[in-house]
This record gives sequence, C-alpha cells and structure tokens, in this order.
Amino acid sequence: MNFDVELDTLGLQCPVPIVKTNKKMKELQVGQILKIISDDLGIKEDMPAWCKTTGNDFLGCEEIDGKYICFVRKTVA
Amino acid sequence: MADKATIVVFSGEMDKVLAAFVIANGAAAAGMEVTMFYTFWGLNVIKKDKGPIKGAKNWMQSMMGMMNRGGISRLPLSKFNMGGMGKSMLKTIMKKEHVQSLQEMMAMAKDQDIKFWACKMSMDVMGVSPEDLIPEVEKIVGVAAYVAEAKDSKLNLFI
Repeated sequence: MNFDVELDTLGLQCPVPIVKTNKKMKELQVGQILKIISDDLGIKEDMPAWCKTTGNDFLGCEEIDGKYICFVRKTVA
Repeated sequence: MADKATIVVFSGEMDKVLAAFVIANGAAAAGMEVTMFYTFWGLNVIKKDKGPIKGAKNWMQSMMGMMNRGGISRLPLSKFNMGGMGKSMLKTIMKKEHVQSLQEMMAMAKDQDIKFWACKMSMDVMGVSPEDLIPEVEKIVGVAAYVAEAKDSKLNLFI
C-alpha cells in the first residue's frame, strides 16, 4: 500500500504505539496515509479502535513475520 | 470541543497507578482532554520524594508523613510487595516486556497535556502543603471542581 509517512513502534508496549501514532498524525496533512509498524499483538484491535474514536480512516493491519503493518488515512484536521 | 476524561486517583500503589496512567495516556492520545484528580493515598504519586512533609501541623500528621512517604518511585505494590522485593521483580519484568515505568508514564502524561489536580481536603488531613507537591500539579481543588469536570466527562474512573 502507498503511504506518506512511516512510524516505527517496534518493541514498544501499550499505550506507547497509540500515543506515538496520535503525535505523528498531527504532522500529516488531511488525506495523507501513515504506516505504523508494531510487534505488539494488541495493535490489531487498538489501531481500528483509535481510528473509530478519533474519526480517522482505518485502512487495515497486515501481519508479516510477527510484525503488524497498519495503515491509517488522516481525515480529521 | 474535545471530549473529556476524568480519573480519580485514590490509590497510592504502583500497579493501580500504572493502570490509571495507561488509561489517561490512551484517552489523551484519542484526543480527549484528561484530568487526573489525586486524592488521599493518591497524593503520594504527586508528592516530592525527598524529606518529610512540611505541612504537618501536629505529631500525628508528622508520624503519618513519616510512615507514608510519598514520591512516585516509592509506591508499593497492592499485592505481593514483600517489603519491596515483589515490586523490584515486577519492575524487572516490566522492563523486559518493554512496558514504560511509572516515571515515564507520568512524563508522557505531561507531554500530552494531561492535567494534575490535588484534593485540598486530603492534603489537610495528611498535613501535605502545596510545597510538598511536585511542580507538575496545576491546581489544588475541592470536590466541586472535580464534579464540574466529571459532569462533562464521557469517561470517569475511580482508581
């Protein structure tokens, strides 16, 4: 998937990946896509949940070799 | 306006306070305006960790202040503390599992503009003066200030 900005949260535990995602998203323009890399299983449920509360678009998480690659489109300024 | 979240931190134990910080940081990351209201044993989280309290007005408060030393690094576990041995084991495990320490959680909370308020009544009971508290504490308030925040909050917890 195409993306604009990448965020590496490998080795980080709840709630840090979500806190970092929130921070990073502030740097993006509306319409841009953030790619988040995590090795925390919790992210599979947490990322869509965070998108639901903030109103951003959750584009999906895929699992590759124990890592989770998630994509989020910024829709809220 | 952003949704609000209010957390009453009544407990002064490391594990319970950790839960409070995780939820507070998660709520702030979800765009909520978070206030942590520290009362009773929770005051230990926001007390400076050096020396006895300065606000003690009688020997009972002095004694309480001596036995109830504050500072975020001093909080015991609510279970299996075993004179600090259990706590030190848990801290080692947390580090191994890459879980942030309480101090890091607190720094993250301040970085996310989470508000720290202290309860005036419990400060009076425990003989804690404003100078006994860390500078991160924004306000010293009564129950009305908490209720005003809680009334507008979508998330309201007592930990």
